[in-house]
Order: sequence, then structure tokens, then C-alpha cells
Amino acid sequence: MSPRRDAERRLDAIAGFREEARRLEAMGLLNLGPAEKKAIASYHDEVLRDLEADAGLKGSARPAAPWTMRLAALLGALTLGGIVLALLDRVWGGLASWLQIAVALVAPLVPLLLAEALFRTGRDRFFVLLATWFAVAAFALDLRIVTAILNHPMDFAIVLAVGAFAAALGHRHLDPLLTAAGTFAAGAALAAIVALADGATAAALLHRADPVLLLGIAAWSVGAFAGRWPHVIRFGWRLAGLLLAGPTALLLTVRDASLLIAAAGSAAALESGLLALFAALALFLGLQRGWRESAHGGLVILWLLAIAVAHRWLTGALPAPVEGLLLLLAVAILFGLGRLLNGLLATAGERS
Amino acid sequence: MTGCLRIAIGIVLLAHLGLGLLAAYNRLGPERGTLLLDECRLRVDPGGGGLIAAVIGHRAPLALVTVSQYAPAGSGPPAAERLAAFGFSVDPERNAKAVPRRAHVLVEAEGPHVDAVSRGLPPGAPRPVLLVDVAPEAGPLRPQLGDGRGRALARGIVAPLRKGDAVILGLRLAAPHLAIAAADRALLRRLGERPAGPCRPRFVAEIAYGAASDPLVRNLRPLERPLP
Repeated sequence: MSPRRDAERRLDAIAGFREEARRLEAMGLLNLGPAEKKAIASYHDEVLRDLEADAGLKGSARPAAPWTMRLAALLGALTLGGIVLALLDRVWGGLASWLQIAVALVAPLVPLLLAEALFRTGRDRFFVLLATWFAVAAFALDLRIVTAILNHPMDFAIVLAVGAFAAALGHRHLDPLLTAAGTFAAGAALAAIVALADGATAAALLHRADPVLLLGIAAWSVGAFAGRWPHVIRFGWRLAGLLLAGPTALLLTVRDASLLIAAAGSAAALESGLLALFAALALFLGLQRGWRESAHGGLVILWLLAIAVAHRWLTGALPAPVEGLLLLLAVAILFGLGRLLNGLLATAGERS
Repeated sequence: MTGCLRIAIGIVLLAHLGLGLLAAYNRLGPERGTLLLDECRLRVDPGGGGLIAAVIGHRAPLALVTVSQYAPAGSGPPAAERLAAFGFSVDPERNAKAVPRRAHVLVEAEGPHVDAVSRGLPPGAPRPVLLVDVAPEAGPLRPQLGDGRGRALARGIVAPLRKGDAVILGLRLAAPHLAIAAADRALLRRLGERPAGPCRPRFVAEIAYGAASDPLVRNLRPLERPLP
């Protein structure tokens, strides 16, 4: 049975349970306490949200709030934020440094916990996302303030932290836009950190293949982990990510094209490991979830990585014709492995 | 799904823990080098240090006023080899889109270079704080620290700058703005704005660069009588 059919059956079952429970309560045959009722309703609300995200089914637990209420909430939140900021600004100079850091630490946690509470109680998505975006903005401001208090210059590690925070929160609260923005910010910050660790400028990195690899991994991650988008869009992100990251494996042996294996040093080793990890993850998740493009993409990248390593080791040790024959053999083996993978995917599909 | 929530909270806590540990490490192992600076060699903003000012990053109670002056004094910045060391080019066109890079900077508040530069200044002008040398790593700069008095190793940012037909290395401190303790902020507010006219210092600040090169104000001492 298809996952969508399963989801529809679950949706019907929840609706049936709720209707039947109301009827039994009216007849006095079912006496659930308020806490039990609330726990069951919260659980079902979360299941409905997951079903809506994973299978694109409409099973919202509560009706959407009117746009006037949303606008009022947005303006109210902005006004409240401004008032809090202005009040803190007035007293800020008189606070001890440790107290300033404590206030800054609490600032992102308050909207984060509020967003989580709204999410768990099944409130309108707009309110959840409003609190979520506030939490991300508060975290960015928080780190800006703490670095200023500690006389520490802002660096790419801060951008990486905010990006990762946004990606995690966006995934938790089913906001693909925040997930994508956070993932790309974190990917770009990681690229800059790698460039600096390599002793190059971030600008020098733009002339090489490494950002393409990191952007590819970021794009694939969006497609793999952003739960709310329709399947076809998630497929597109995954495919774009693999098409970006895959060819960089071909550039591994080209000197000055990448930090990867052709270069020496810890940054190169880190990036090669990242590519291998990404390819293995794409292959594993592809097999597990039936994503054919990810399974095949992961396999091809792993194989290209192995060929690149072998090419680097064997360069100069073998005559060119022998090396050419070995390359042909590697392509043939890859073709065979692809067919084997097809079989595994088909078996996994039948089993599910 | 709740795993993502734990990750988000973990990132917030880890970021603060990391910054706190970095600050503690900075204070535990200060390198040789303390700068003793009077009011005239600092940019003072008694009203600075508010929350919004900290977010914008352009106002702080104290900021260092520095001048780039490569050693030996008067020889000009050694362009080509320094540019190459930082991965920049001597070709201005190729540097058009170059992004500034982190660097280590030798800061001098007392010594022969400051004396040499001060001799050329009009009478009564405050002595400058100089950024006298720069390198990608701290190692090559350490031998120049001497006994450590009046010289310090700081964290800086360099970028290639076009000067006529040549390209030189532009240099600034990564953290010139200095956050200070609440008591020192109160002291600055009490002192108020500096009177107009020739600068007569009313306080002295002791600034140290720690193990991670971030500056910390160790002491802010008011002078009983302003220095002439």
C-alpha cells in the first residue's frame, strides 16, 4: 500500500475516533478526564500535522485564523519587541556584564519555547512561524551582543551557529523557507571557514569547486529534510544538490580546482570526509526511503571518490593504456553496481 | 522531530558556552603586552554601551584610535611580500573583489616608532597608538614584543588597498571597540564629555590582549589632576 493511502487511512481513523468519542461521552459511556482529553487531542494534532507535511493531506486540527488577526498579531509582536528593546536599551548601561549576557541568553529561548508551545497545542501555523522567526532574529542579536560584551570580533562561526539554529528550528516547525535559508547560510559560512583554514581568502574559494560541493550538500539536505514541501519539489532539491555535488568529485584530481584530495592539509581531509559522508548518507537514505535519485547519486559520488583516490595513487606508476583500461573497468563495475542497486530498491519497494 | 528542538536549544547553549570559554581562556593566559593609554588616545563615548549601540556595533564606551605605521618608521608598508603572504595580488584588478582577511597585528603605544611619529606632530597633540607590523600568524611578530611593555599582539583585519599605481595592505583592528565593566561605565558617565580645547587626559586605561588576542580593559583609573 502506498504511503499516501496509509496516511489517508490514518486521517480517517483519527476523525472516526474523535466523532465516536464525542458520541460515547454524550451517552455517558466514556468518561475521560480533562488532562487525558488534552493529551489525546495534542497527540492527534501532531499526527495530523505530520500527515499534512509528509503526504500533503489537509487535516488541520483547527481552522486557520483570519488575516486580520494575523496582521494584528504581527503588528503586536513587532510593537512588543520594539518596546522591550527600547526598555532594555534604557537600563542596559547600568547592568553588570554578566547580567547583560544572561539577558541575551534568555532572549532567543523565550520565543523558541513560545513557538514550541504554540506548535504543540496546534495553533495556527502563522503564529508558530512568527515566534520561530523571532527566535532566530533574537539568537542573531544575542550573539552580536555577547561578542560585543566580550570584545570578540564577529566571525563566520557565528553565522554557522545562527544558520544551523535556523535550519533545525525550521525543520522542527515545518518551515521550509527557514530550513533552506538556514542551511544555505550555514553552508556558506562553512565554505568561508574552510577557505580560511586553507590559508586562502573567502574570495579565492569562489574560483574553485568547493562552494559548489557545499551548496550541493545544502540543496540536497533541504530536499531530504524539509518535510512540508510536496514530493516533487523535494525531489527537485535533492536532484539539484546531487548534480551540484557530484561533478565536484570529478575535479578531485585537478590541482588548484579544489581543496579536496589534490591538496594536502586538514581542510582538504575534512572536506573529502564530508563528501564521502554525504554520499554514504544519500545512498543510505535513498535505499531506506525509496529515493532512487539519491541512492544512485550517492553510489556514483562514492565511486568517483574511490576512482579519484586510486588515480592519485597510481599516477605515474602505470602506463597510460593500462590506466585507461582500468578506468573502463571501473565504469563497467559502476554499471553493474547500479543494476544491483535497482534490484535492492525494487525489493525494498515491494516490502514496504 | 523533537530531536531538532534539542539541537536548536543545544546550539544556543553551546554557542554561549564556547564564547564564554574563549573569553575565560583569553583572560587566563594573557600574552606579554599591556597598553597603558590615557584618555586622549582613546575615543570616549560616555553615553555609549547601550543595547541598540551594541547591536549596531558603532558605539562603545571606549574605542582605540590607531594609526597604521609599518616598521621601521618611515619605510612605508612592505607591499608585495605581505600581499602574497595574505593571498592577495599586486595586481589591483585581481584584488578588486578580494575579501578582507584575518591577521595578527603588533600594536605599539610606547617605543621608538611612537617617539618618531610624535616628533612630527604639532605641540600638544596626543601621541598615537600605532599598528606597526602585521602577519598571518602571531609567530613572526612575537620576537618584536620585547619586554612586552607598551606593545601587544592584537587581532586585525587586512585588505588590499590601491594607492596610486601600487597596492598596499590596509590594516585595522578586528575589535577596536571596547566593552567595559558597569563601574567603569559609571565612571565615564560621571566624567562626562571632554572639555573643548587641547586634550588633557582625565583617566588612564590599562588594556591587555589575552591568549586569544581579544582586548580586555583591566583597569580604568581616574587621574586626580588632569595631565597637562
